[in-house]
Amino acid sequence: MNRSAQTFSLWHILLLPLLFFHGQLLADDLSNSDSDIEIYVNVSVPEKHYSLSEIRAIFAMRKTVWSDGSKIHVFVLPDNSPEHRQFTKSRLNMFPHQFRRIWDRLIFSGTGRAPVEVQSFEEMQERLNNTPGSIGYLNKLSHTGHIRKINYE
Amino acid sequence: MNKVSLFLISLFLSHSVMAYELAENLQVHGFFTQNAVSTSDNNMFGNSDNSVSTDFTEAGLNFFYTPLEKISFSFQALYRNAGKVDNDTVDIDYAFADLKLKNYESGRYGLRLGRVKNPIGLYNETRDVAFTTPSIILPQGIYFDRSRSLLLSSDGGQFYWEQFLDNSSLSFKMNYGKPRNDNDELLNAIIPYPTPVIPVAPQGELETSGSKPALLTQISYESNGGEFIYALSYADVELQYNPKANDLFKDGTTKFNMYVLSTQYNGEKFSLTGEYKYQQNDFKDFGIYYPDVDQVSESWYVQAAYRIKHNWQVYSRYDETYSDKDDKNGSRAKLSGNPNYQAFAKSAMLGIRWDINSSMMLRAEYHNINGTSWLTTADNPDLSKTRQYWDLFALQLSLRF
Repeated sequence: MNRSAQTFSLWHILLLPLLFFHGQLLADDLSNSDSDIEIYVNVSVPEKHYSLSEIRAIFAMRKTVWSDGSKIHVFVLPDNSPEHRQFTKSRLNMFPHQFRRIWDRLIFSGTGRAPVEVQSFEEMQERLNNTPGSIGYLNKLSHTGHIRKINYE
Repeated sequence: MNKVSLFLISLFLSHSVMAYELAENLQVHGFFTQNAVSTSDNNMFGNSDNSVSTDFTEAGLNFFYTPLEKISFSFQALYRNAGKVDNDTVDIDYAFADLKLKNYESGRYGLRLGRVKNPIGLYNETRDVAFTTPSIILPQGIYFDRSRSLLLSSDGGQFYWEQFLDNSSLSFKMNYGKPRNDNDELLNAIIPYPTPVIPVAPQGELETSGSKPALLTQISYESNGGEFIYALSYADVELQYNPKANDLFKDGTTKFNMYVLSTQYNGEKFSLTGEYKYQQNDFKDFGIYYPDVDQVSESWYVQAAYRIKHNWQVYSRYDETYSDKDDKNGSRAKLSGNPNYQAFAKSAMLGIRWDINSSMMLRAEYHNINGTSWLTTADNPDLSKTRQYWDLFALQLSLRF
């Protein structure tokens, strides 16, 4: 195959996904409406004042134990869920891709673990309720059970 | 195991969940990456010259086990096929015990003992995991594929310390241990013989046994969860040459002192990355066929990325690399009989990344390159047949779980 023909066909291969899926590009990003998502923990988590940088370190999986020495369990929604994006932006002032970068470096260099991914707020509430030492976020709390809102600044 | 079955297994696993908790304290992750590379001239990752090479596959499977909060065990196996450099090799990428000596309110420190990943620049620790790298072909000036096996990981240990500050964090890592063996490609990069002028080739090997342990250290500062990242990495690595009985080269030593300065901005839509490497190379006592070399190689790149949407990204990079900063056009390198353009590479790149979902990613990129310092001898045995100006297309599919 001569060079120009090869270049031509390669560009077709490269552009193919764009042609098929450009519709995806048109779908709008999430709106920047004020978020009502708040951070919740299992009641076993020590009650104290937490700083924003501590909360960030917890969701970044860099801080892995509570002040009483118990293990931290982190629950998140999938990266591409609008609620997860809204949460990271409005509550932690970070973007999902920043968390993904940090988690992937931990996971694939053996220096840490990933948060546990749940598929919905209902599942998140159930896991928070049943897992001592857990932290996550909810848009509303339908029944309190073993969950409480966390204070941080 | 062939790569088709690796692909199918990864596809199956990546479709269920993001991580496997085999037991309460055991997490399992993995990835699979298949690339297609085509070049106008020269071979990169297989027979790519005027053809399409699919001879570039990487897959990994790892375990993270935390029986107690004070200790964890990590292990990753890596499968790699990369042109004639790696042929279906399966290696232990890392395997260590992490002793978490201290976890306090605003930080932690500890010791990792075993085979640990080497922290160099922003990407070396996870350089084989496509999801974490900035492009299909890594910026070669900093993440030189010809010396990949040397700088991948160390058998020894790592001291680490992390401090969470008000709105930022500070991290320090220091590795001390033996670099990995299997440095044939590196030996070829150091002694690029035979050539028409010097028709002899080294018969022996660069070995880590008998060499002193390597020291690699990195200090990095991240503000606002990684909005701004600054890092300084340093490596001091020495390798001993072990000649064969009929060898014309003597038992010389190669010594590298590497400094890498890294900086990155990560905004919501826009990212900008720059890295600069300054490396002192000291090769001596190889005998009369290879006079002592004392030179500095230098390289840098700047890469910009823009997220059109949260799962679509376009990126572009310019990079330059010189084997000897005082011989940028390679006129001294030419004296050995190799083309002068072997001594450098300058390239521009344009790429696009699509995260189909959180466990599947597709990337495509085009490189326009002047110079051949990236090329491996394994895939380009006769350097006189290489071309100075060449183009490279690459396509990548990566899965993870």
